[in-house]
Amino acid sequence: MSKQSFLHQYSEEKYKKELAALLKADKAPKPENWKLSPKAVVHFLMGGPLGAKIKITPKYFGDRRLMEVAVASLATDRALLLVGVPGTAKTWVSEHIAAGICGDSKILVQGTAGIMEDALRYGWNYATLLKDGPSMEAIVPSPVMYAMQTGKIARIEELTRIPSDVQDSLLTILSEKSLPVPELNQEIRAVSGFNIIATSNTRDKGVNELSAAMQRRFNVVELPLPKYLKDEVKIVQNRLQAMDMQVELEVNTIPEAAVLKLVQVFRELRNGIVEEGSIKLKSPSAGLSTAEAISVLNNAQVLATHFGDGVVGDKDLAVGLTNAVLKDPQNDRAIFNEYLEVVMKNREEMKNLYDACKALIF
Amino acid sequence: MHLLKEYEPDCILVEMPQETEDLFQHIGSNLLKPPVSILVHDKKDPSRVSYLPFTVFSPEWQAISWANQTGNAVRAIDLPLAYFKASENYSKGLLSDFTKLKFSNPLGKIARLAGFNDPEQWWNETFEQHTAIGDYFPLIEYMMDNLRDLDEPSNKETLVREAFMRKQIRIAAKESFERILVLVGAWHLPAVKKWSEWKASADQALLKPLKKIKVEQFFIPWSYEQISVSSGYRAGVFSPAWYEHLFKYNEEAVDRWLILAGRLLRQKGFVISPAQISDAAVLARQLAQMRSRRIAGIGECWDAIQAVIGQGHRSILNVVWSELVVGNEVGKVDRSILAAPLYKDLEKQLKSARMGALLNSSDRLKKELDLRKDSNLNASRLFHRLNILEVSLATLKQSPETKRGTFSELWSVKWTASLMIKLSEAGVWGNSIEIASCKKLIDQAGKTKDIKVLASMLGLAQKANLPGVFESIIDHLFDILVVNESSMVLLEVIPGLVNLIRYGDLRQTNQSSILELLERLIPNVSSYLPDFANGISDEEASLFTDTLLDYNHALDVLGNADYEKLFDQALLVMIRSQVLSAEIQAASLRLLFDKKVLDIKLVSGFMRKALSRSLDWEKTALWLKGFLRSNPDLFIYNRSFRNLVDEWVDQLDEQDFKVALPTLRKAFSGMGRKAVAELMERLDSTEDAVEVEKEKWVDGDPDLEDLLNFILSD
Repeated sequence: MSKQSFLHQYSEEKYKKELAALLKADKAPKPENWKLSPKAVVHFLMGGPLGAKIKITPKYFGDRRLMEVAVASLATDRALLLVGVPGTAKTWVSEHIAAGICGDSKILVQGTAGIMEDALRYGWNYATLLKDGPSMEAIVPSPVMYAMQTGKIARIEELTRIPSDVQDSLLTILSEKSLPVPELNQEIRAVSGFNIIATSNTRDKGVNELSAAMQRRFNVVELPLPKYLKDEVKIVQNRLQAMDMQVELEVNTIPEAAVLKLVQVFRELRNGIVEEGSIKLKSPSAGLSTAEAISVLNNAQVLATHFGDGVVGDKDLAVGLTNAVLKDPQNDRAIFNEYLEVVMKNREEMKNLYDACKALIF
Repeated sequence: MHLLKEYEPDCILVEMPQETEDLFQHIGSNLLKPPVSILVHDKKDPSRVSYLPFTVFSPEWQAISWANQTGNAVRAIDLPLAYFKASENYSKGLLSDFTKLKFSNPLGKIARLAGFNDPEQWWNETFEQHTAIGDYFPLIEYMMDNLRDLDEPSNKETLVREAFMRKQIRIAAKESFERILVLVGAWHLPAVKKWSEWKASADQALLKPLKKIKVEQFFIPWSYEQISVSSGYRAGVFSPAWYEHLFKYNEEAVDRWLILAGRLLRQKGFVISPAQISDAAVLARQLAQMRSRRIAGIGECWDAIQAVIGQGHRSILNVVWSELVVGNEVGKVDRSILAAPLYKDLEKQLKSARMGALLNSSDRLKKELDLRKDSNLNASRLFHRLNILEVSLATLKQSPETKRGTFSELWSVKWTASLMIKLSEAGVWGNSIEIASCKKLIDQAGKTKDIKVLASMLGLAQKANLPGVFESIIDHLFDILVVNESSMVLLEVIPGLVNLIRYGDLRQTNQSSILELLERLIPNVSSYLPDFANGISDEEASLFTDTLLDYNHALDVLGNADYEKLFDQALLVMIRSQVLSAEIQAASLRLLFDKKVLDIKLVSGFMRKALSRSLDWEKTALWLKGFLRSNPDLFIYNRSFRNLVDEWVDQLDEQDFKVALPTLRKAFSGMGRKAVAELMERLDSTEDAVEVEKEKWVDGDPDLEDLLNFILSD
């Protein structure tokens, strides 16, 4: 590894070897300008052995069907919209799909409430503009325009946070596959292979709802929260390992029991029912997604490494857990306390975690 | 089909129970419109029944109708169901569910390994879509050989069936046919293909010990809905509508099915543009390619609709599920060959009630039946019996039991073809509607120990005029009561039982057995009543009060002095209870007043206590509610009660009054507008014209007198 490493590694850098191996083995028909065939892209996402020696690591743990629909959508002339509650790996999936299809996941627009049309269309280099007047040379392309010119995938994060009038500038791009430049009476036409992956958060529903015209141009794939405890534990462990590699913490991996414990608590509070299905619970206001569980565990690991004995214990977990659950001090406290007393206290393996949480909230 | 044309067999042997062969002549004729099913039942016990459903795309249907059209021989070679029926061991699996046989478990597993949820689709894709016959037969055979080795030794049922099939093949081979085609499930291929390698004597030995019984078989109409329910593939979606599309349109099935989906959704008010449908079709194809399918299956269409039209949600498909996935096709069987005995019985009975025309129309009709007329009474009994059999030809809208003082029942009647299937199903209970409903009700009654349910079944038996069931349920009730004598449920059940007596004349039923049952129940219920009541919380009190009043009403109807006396004693205990909910206590007091057990002086005493200032107003309001429950008009005529309440209201401060108001309103809500006006008038007038009655009601009853002295000394 180089001396200077970055906090976030792009998918195509991190999985360079896997992508190369897939490319070598890929015999299935490819849409024009795609690096890999749709089948191989799904293989890249879902993981699994490739030939006898190489094993592709799974990036998405969940229904293969969803990934197939997502990738197949991009091969048709409709764009893809990934929706889901926070922490369901929307961005993660979009990054890896882009890396698989065009080997470039960096063409990215972050949707915000204050975004301008320039970010989706093009801006001007004002020095050149003033000097020579409007010309193609004076245009500063947006990521979307760049993707059109190169036949790649552009990613738009949080599409529904973008104001509706700005969203509308995508319409021509998506339906005509071209970007008119009225100032020059010209247009920029999209090269084959161009498409858009957008993500949107279901919690933002109603903020800048997609217009009917926009909806028409997107295929929607909803990413659900993991259905089974077992799957969710696997997701968390996998992500934690990836983070270890990134941050280069020389620590022992978190004990599996701790992961299981925390994920179970998260799921039970989120779903409002214990895993055994015997007790109904109230859900706190916090989302308690898988991503949050990962961050709590990561936090616990850092705590344990720098301030503890290096092994993640119940006390380290309790800090993050209570912080994650108690978003609304009054209601959440009551809900969490009920959970502690009714569920956690009666579980042998959670006794210590119970004591630790109790000590923190009272 | 192409296989048939290519091979042109002069004899086809089909894997169908041998006795069904007689019915083959109708397949493909215009007497039948699939989906239909062959029903085979034990002649002695019609409840032992099997269905063999056909759709237009069933290979058996196709092969048999081809043979019929071309005039070639066609035979059924599977073990007759008569053998299965003779032995309980063989009767599971096969009898109830013929369609499932085609994909026994190991094949389903292979399909799943190959990435298919739907074994049928996997089979289609892998084998049936190829054109040359010879290509895949050896492959299938090889696979089956291996699978059968892997699987637990094929069970005896399979071995016996295969022995029988080989025997039939041998018979056909000896005749002068030149090209014999054997149509069996792939599973049997290894056992049937090399039939000549098996010894005829060994097969015979397997078949010899089998016993045979008499069965009957005939066609009945079937529906896609039923096929989809009975085939029940757990993993995938079994969709008759889809397979019909595939059969009819082959390559075009995907587009046609998506177009149909769009049309259906539009009918339900969704705005779906043709562009969306074509986008979905593109996506479905793309998905099929990605999943290495030759053409898209229902799964791909499904995913495409979800992503393109459904905003990622599956729920959109639920809207059109029954039409699109299951299909609402209902088959037809011509009358000339229809043999369902219950249908014939229904026809006969409707004719005698002069309602025969009903079966030829699909309009919803209203029928008012005057139960004093014999023909109408019979029709009513028929409708009730059909309802017991879950053949919902007629729905009861009004009856003497719900609308007192009438002799008529109002029914809403509608005949649909799907009822035909229900009728055929009900045939398992017997060959006439009377016998079938009788058997079914007895069977249901035997399965429950719920007294309430049984009591309602008694009502049904009475209305359907099934005296045999009536007596048997009463016997059953007696058995249950031995262990349940103190159950509070009895209190709720008694009014219903008394109703049976009340309308017994109208319905012409024997009442003595109910009277006997009541004789056993009422003394018990009355003596346990105070204990039940103590256990009732304030929230449940309102319901309990109603039950109590119903019970009182029922005793009124019976008019038995002993029952009344027991009830009075129970009520007298209840009004002194320290833990009883205020509402029930007040209602009990009121009952005692109405029944003239307590006089006004005593009741006023209780009332004064209940309205004392020290008590919480909410409780008092509840008390008033209970007191007025049976008849709120009392206050109009009774000055002393009215004054007591007046005093109580006067001493409430404004705040308390406001809070107590809703409960008070509820308490007086039973009064009509006129009654309220009258009450207001009386409140205004200073002079009360009505004299308060001051009789003493307890004369001559030493028990009661003792009790009252005790109460008064409190």
